[in-house]
Amino acid sequence: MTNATATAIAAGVRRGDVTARRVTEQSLRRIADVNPAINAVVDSLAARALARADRLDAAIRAGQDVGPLAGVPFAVKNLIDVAGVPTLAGSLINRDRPPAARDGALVRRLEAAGAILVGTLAMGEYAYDFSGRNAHYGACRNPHDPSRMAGGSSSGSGAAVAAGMVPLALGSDTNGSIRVPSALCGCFGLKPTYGRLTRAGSFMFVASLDHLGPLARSAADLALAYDAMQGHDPDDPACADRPVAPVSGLLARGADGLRIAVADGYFARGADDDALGAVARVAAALGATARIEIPEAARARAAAFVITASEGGNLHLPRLRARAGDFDPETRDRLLAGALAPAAWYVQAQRFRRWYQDRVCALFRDVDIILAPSTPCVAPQVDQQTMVIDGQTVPVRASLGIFTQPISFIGLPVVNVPLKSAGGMPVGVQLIAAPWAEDRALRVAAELEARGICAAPIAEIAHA
Amino acid sequence: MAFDASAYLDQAAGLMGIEVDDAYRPGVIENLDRLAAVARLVAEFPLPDDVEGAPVFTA
Repeated sequence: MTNATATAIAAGVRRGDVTARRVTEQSLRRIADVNPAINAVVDSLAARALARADRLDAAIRAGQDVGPLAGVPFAVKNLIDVAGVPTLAGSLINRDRPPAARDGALVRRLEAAGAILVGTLAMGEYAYDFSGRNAHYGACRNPHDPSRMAGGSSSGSGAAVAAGMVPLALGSDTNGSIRVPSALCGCFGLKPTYGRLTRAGSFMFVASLDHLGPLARSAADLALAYDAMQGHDPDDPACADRPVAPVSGLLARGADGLRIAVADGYFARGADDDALGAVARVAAALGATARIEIPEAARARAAAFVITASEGGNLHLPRLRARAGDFDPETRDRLLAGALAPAAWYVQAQRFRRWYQDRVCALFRDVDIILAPSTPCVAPQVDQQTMVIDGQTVPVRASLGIFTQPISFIGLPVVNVPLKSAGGMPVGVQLIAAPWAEDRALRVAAELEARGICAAPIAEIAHA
Repeated sequence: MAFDASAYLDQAAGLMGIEVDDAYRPGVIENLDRLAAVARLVAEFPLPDDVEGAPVFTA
């Protein structure tokens, strides 16, 4: 079952074809086998997972309905609380925090639907990262080529799914941290609308921009997990009080009736042939010939950059004062600079966000889905610092997010769909929808998957 | 007037109660320069007076 989707596992467990214990054991074994080469899993929670699997199997034998995610192993980025484990958020400093008293809200919701938490996952320190590098715990590596980076900051989430350790993982996305590793590792990833999924019980980064969401190997799995996690939560002040809007039953509609356009201008420059070719293949498959300009996208990225530095710097101010030497150097200097930024920059960036949101949302009167690259290229080498895009030498870490940042800035829902590049490495395309229209992005993802345009095969990994 | 990130760092770090180790100074100055360049893109964009940053942002 290690290569099965969450949907297939849940169906098998619910029917009694396979036990939750067996599925959980297989997931734990795959983690033990391949994690040394990939470094995606931080804590393997075998005792907890197996105890829960046994309870679930007993409930199934007793004829109870254990939920739509029955027996599905999943793992979470280690900024989401797991009872009894310190929430490290990729840092050394958080080792001094007491273990979390209870599971984060989304862990509770997934487990209430029958899923089984098997581990916590690697990430760039405090989520301020697009590479998956980590000075404290080592880089998380790309399962499709371990000499390359997994992408970040939800590096372990993308890598664990692509490596077949778990069929489902949770990540966070402030500026692209679900979509970048999904694209580089070759997974389906959903960054829902800002405010859709609760962030309660997480060690977050930039409250104005933070989202949580699922990564998986099929659009149906994203939908299944997303449906189980929806719903208002007063413990997250940004969580919208909206009715649950299940999407799983809508996927069969595919792209039928949806108006789809390709993002032009900013999103058609600064990317290589792999990235732009993937967009072209998706557009051709969907018959999308229209092109649309998202206005002031470069400025939107700049404003997201300023808000991230300022809020991140403020959040970590006590730690920057007391323990600057214990930060990852790649994180520390940016947070220190952000902590010193004048208020006028931040306020202007927040006001620009409103202006930009009004302009971009107006585009959705004429279009339902906008296509854009997820990253400018396939996964660079783990330690690579610069790359050449469009004839320009640019820094790898910041540049990986150039196409994701202007979208999450105003909270639009996005699905990353995975394609294979000419060289064999995964490459991703963003399916961007209007606020609260996750269903449309997921429908298009499901159609592209059904037609074989997009796929998330498990990586073959050499292990001892 | 040109932005002097080194002088700004001394003043702002003092104001914020952060002691920046000499070993980190070059990296912080580099990041302040980058942040200033990026912020300029945002700051130079004229916004109407009635555009408010929402205290609670709703997508």
